[in-house]
Amino acid sequence: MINLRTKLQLSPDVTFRSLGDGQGAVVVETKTGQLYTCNDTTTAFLEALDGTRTLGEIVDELHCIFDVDQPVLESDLNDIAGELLNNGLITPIPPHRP
Amino acid sequence: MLLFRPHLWIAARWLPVGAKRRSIEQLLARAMPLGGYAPYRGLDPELILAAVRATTARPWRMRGRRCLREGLLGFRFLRLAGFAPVLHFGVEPESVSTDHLRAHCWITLADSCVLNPPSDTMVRLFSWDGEKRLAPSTLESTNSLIAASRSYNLNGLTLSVIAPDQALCACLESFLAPLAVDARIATGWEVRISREDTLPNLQAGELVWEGDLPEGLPAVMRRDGADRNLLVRDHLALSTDRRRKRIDVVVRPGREKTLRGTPSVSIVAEIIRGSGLFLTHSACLLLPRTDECILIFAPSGTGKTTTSLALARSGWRLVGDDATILQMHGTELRVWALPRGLTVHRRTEELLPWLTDAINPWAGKAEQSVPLRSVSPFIGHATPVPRRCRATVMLDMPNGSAHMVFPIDRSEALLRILSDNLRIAPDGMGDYDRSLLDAFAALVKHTMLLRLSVGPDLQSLGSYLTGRVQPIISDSPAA
Repeated sequence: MINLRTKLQLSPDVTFRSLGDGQGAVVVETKTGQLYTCNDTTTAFLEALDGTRTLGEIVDELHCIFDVDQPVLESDLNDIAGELLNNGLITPIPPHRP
Repeated sequence: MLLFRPHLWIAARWLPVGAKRRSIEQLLARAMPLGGYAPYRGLDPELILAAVRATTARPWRMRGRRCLREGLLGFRFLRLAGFAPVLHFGVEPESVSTDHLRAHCWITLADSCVLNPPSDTMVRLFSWDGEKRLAPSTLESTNSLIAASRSYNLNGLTLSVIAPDQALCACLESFLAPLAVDARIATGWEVRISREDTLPNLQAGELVWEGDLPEGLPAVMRRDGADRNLLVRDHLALSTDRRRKRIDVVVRPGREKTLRGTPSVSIVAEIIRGSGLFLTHSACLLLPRTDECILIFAPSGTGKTTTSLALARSGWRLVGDDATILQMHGTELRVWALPRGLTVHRRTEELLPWLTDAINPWAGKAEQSVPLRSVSPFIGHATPVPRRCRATVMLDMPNGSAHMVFPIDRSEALLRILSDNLRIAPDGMGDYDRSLLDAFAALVKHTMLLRLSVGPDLQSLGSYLTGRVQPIISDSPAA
């Protein structure tokens, strides 16, 4: 289960190529060769996954890019993150325990 | 192999002993190993000759005859590595009438000088192949019996094929003939083919692929670091050494025909892969009256050749219909194609009746290989040099009404290209695959993209597609 405090990262066996000009990206599972296409919102989300920011911070960042209400964007990105997690394309980073 | 350098060191001191008292025939006989003894088979000739030069650098005998000293030693150790070197002796004509005759000795391997090249003015007196003296006039024909070689220049990527006979040597001719060059190229890749009863054991390394070749022969490809090996069981073994830019092919006697099929494509593919270029499954054509390319992508058997021939019959020029090379030229993408023959299906001839004059009778077959030279009198064709790519066409299934083009998203285009061109090994994508992905992403980002569904009137296809592509690329900057 993820929430706005969850930090996410691209799975180690996944790579993607952004195609620019609002044309989305293609995601490749490097172990299996499974291919996915994704839209601009998902591409921006994948590009923002640097393993240090929480989902909430990413929502804030993308809100500056996309002309959409924050609650709508938050809901959309939550759905996208859930779908990417289900497909194993991204993974949550366990919280740091001192 | 551990004994090579000590053996060389000892021989460098043993061979010159008593040289002043011996005739040239006696010296040559001393340099020749006994029988077919070849304990250093597999050593690179360049490595052998570099070691010979280093070992003979500070002589204590034959000090005034450096080239002979190196020649005898180099000849002996090339023989011990299983090669067929020829030792040559010559003189400078100008020196004949002087007190100081300037003689010289050098070695050739498969017609290429590998040690102490003679000057342009040197006159060859005789040569020695280990068994007999050869007069200069008979040398070339005799060498062709020992080993045959062919060289190709693939737009700056050079390769030489060295084989025991012309038939084996010609294994790449069906798709590289237009790129052949007359002189042996000493640098670049070397494909060394031998005929042996026993194939080398290529079981080491990670499995890349296992299955049947299109010819129906079981084969295994393995990866050992960056190098890949192909074993076609009971037929041939192909091993790549990317660092040394060398591919060794061992073919079993009677199985020579196998080499001309898929394994020959593998040879070129490995060289292209090892040189940072990308081999793609696509057709490459030039727009009418331009020097700019389009690429056509489609899986096998879905009309790429038929479409390419129809276009090339009506003003376009065909570079290649199946194997296109992508190469990054700085930040720009350049494309060219291997000029290999076409695989023509019977249905293609039905759709393009003019093709009948260019192909053989079917004799019950559903498809046949047709050399480019057979179809070139009937179509426009172009030399395979790197050019700008302006459009990328995804071929849809043909339709029964009329030609149609549609726009296509970059992501959809890349997905279709990757589906047919990206082969992932069981242990996942390697660095080359990632670079290939980058090259395809650059292609779809920087070229005009469209889908094409071909209608029944193939005669009008050329003008139809020209009318759709030409105006758009005329208004857009090149990739």
